Amino acid sequence: MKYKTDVATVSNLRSTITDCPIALHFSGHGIENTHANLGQEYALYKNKGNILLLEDENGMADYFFEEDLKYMIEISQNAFEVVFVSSCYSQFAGEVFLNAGAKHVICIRRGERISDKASLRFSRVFYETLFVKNYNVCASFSIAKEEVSKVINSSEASKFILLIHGQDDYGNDPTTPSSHK
Amino acid sequence: MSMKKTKSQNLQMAEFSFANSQSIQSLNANQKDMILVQLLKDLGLFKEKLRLAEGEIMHKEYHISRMKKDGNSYPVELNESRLHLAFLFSSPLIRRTHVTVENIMQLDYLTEINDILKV
Repeated sequence: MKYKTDVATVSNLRSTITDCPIALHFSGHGIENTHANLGQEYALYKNKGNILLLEDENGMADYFFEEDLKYMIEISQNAFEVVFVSSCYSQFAGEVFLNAGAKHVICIRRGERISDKASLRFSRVFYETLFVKNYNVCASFSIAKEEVSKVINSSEASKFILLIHGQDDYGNDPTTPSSHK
Repeated sequence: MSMKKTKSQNLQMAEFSFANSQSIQSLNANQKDMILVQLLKDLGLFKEKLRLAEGEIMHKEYHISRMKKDGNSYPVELNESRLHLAFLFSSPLIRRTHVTVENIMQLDYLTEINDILKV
């Protein structure tokens, strides 16, 4: 399997998109574009969509807006087959990728924290099923979720959601709060 | 003693048998009508069933074509891609706005990546 790892700066994100990977594993935060989150800057950015928190060259937070990501994906003429945003509360970040054109996005349901153990187990089974066993994205998602449900517990499993471009979310079971990442 | 039928008796018998045959004919015609009506009813039912089945097939075909278009029903094509998986990790510790400086929780992305790559 061919893979690469990088810090998520704007430049590296651009380079990754033009590499046309099948899957992007994004480990990072997403925030909602609201006055409460941005303060006075909200007036400047209010029409640019929600935000991915990337890093700048100094390791500080760098806002990357949904609109910019959408444009970047459009001009590179490449849509990700699947994006996995693995951090807690990652539905915002996931929706940014989805709205920007990603075909499938796996993320953690809004307002939920996920345990390291569950996240790792899910990632392992998902990538193995997708790349090694050559299943499609939806089947790989279901198999990985089932694994977490059996090995960890069903409440952790239900926090993983699959967003599909042009459809409602998939696997939307009710959730209960639990241990965290 | 021979039982000779009179002319009027013969006439009566003939009328009687004619009436019988007419009523049998009319019964047959009614039966035929009933059968035809039943056939028409069945035809209507079959047509309705066919219409529903056609609708269902069209609905399923639409879903299949949509799933094919979205790439949901096929495995991803690994050979045609020059990169399968990209990890991008971002865990800035500080978010500075015009007026505030906020600390952000660090993510343990290195462990996460290493553990996934063991697969």
